[in-house]
Amino acid sequence: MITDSLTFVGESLFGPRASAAELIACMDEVGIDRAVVCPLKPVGYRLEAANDTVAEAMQAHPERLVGFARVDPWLGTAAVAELERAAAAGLRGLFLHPWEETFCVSAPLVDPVVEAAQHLGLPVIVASGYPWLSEGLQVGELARRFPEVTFVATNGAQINISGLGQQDAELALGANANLHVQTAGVYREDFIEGIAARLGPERVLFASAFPYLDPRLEIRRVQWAPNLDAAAKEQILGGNATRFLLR
Amino acid sequence: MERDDRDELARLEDRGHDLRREASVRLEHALEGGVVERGTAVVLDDLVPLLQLEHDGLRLQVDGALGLQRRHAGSARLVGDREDVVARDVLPQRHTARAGRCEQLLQGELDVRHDRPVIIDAHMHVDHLPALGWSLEAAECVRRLDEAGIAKGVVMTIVDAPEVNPRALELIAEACAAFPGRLEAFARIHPWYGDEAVALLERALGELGFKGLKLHPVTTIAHPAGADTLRLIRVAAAHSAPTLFHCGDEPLTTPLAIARAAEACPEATIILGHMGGYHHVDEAIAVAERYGNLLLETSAMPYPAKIREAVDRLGPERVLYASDGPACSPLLEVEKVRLAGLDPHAERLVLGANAQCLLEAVR
Repeated sequence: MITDSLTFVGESLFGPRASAAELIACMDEVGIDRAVVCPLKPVGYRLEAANDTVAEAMQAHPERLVGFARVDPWLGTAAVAELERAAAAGLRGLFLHPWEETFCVSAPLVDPVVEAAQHLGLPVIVASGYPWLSEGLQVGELARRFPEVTFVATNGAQINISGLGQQDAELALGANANLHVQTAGVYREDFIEGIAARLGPERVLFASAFPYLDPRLEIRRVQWAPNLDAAAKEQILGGNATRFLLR
Repeated sequence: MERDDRDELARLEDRGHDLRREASVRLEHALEGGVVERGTAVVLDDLVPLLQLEHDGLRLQVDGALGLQRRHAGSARLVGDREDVVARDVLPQRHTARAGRCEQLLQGELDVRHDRPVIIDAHMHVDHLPALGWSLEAAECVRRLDEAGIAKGVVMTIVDAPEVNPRALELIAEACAAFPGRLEAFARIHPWYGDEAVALLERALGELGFKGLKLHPVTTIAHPAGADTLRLIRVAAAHSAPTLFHCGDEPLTTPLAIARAAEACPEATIILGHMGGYHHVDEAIAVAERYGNLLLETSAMPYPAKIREAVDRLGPERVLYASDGPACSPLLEVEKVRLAGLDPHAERLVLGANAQCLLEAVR
């Protein structure tokens, strides 16, 4: 089973938009069986409505979509309450976007919502690699404080087309066994292969970041990787998600 | 083509995918597609007609055929057999070259239903960096070019001459010499070295036959529009050689920073490598609209749709395919261009014809 560990539905304040039907059509075209779906930040800034949109998508496609809830840690107890509400509605993970909600992911501010996720048994996806806010070692610092929580960093935990973030990303992964990285948009393919070789393919999950990125390209980033064997590709393309992200 | 070779191609297809299939179709077609007239073949070993023939891609096809045979037959004497290979293996071409823009060269001359695009990878690396654990071999570049059906790659080091590698130019020259016809060279030079830097670039573009200058301000912290940098860009322009900048999200490398250099050196052709990286792609397209001497290069930037947008807004002659290989996958990067959904004419320009024109112009 091929699982895309990061997609979005809704209408983003920042431009991207996608309906559940468009997401399903794209998954069908590319050959993706199941996807984690997260909320885009809506024009009205209210993440509750966006979480509801995700819950509706999940209910409409229960075999294909697994929803994660998005909250803003700046909202304190209201953010915790929203995560609990969304979990009760069936959402199965927490999605944090330090860039779009503008918080440093390693700051104590984040702790209450992650404690709530731990209490609810939810994994946490962190939009990672953003300068000053969610660079590799900052995400690693959060993972260090919550060793019982499963964390997944988007973008290989580094967004830099010189590869300048790769060493910190690998240090964070090496120090925190509960931290994993996604493949979407990653510079470079040999970074993914290196993480799989040195730390194990169980640390890497395929993601497309639809509609930000093109799943037709992103799936081939894994399928065509020359230095991953078939077993590693199977784990990255879906086995890992089944085993610990969506269990 | 020997039977075993055909079987090998079939095996490649079986375990491959569209690109491999397309690459082998191109070669099969070249092998079965007819015979060039004997007169053309005879003059191919003459340098001047050979350079002219580059205009319609014939030499690349010849080199591709040679490369195929070299790989399968393991023969080192094939360069001497160019005439024979041409006579047997190369598609008949419609016209010999004429001067002019890439656009003119392609119009009406190529049957896009049958001819596969000649692909040139405008940005690859050869270097040895123990501190990073990176070993980027020329042979690996060529292997990955072959895997993706790419005729030729432009290689450069990761670090600069004269520091941190005083032998950076020689390293690249040796790599190109080891794979004649497959690799072209760009020189990475640190702008802060004044007259020494200029002398290195003159030697690269003259004696060593390099085709361009590569600057990576993250490694040099030399501003793209600093006086030292502009001096090098102008030396390259005097040879009609392009300057390829790393153009990403880091300070010193953003499109607006490099645009200052384009404004200061209107005579220079400046390539925005990675076309802005992850979060400066819109800015790269915008500054290229403003400065006609800027070209965009597609490597590693993850948005196929932005390639299409760049072609629509700038024209297909302003965008170059590249991979940043061999660590980035040329196979995947070519696929990214195909996913952009360009019309066949534009795709042909982006994948190779534009780069071919740039390489040919250097003097």
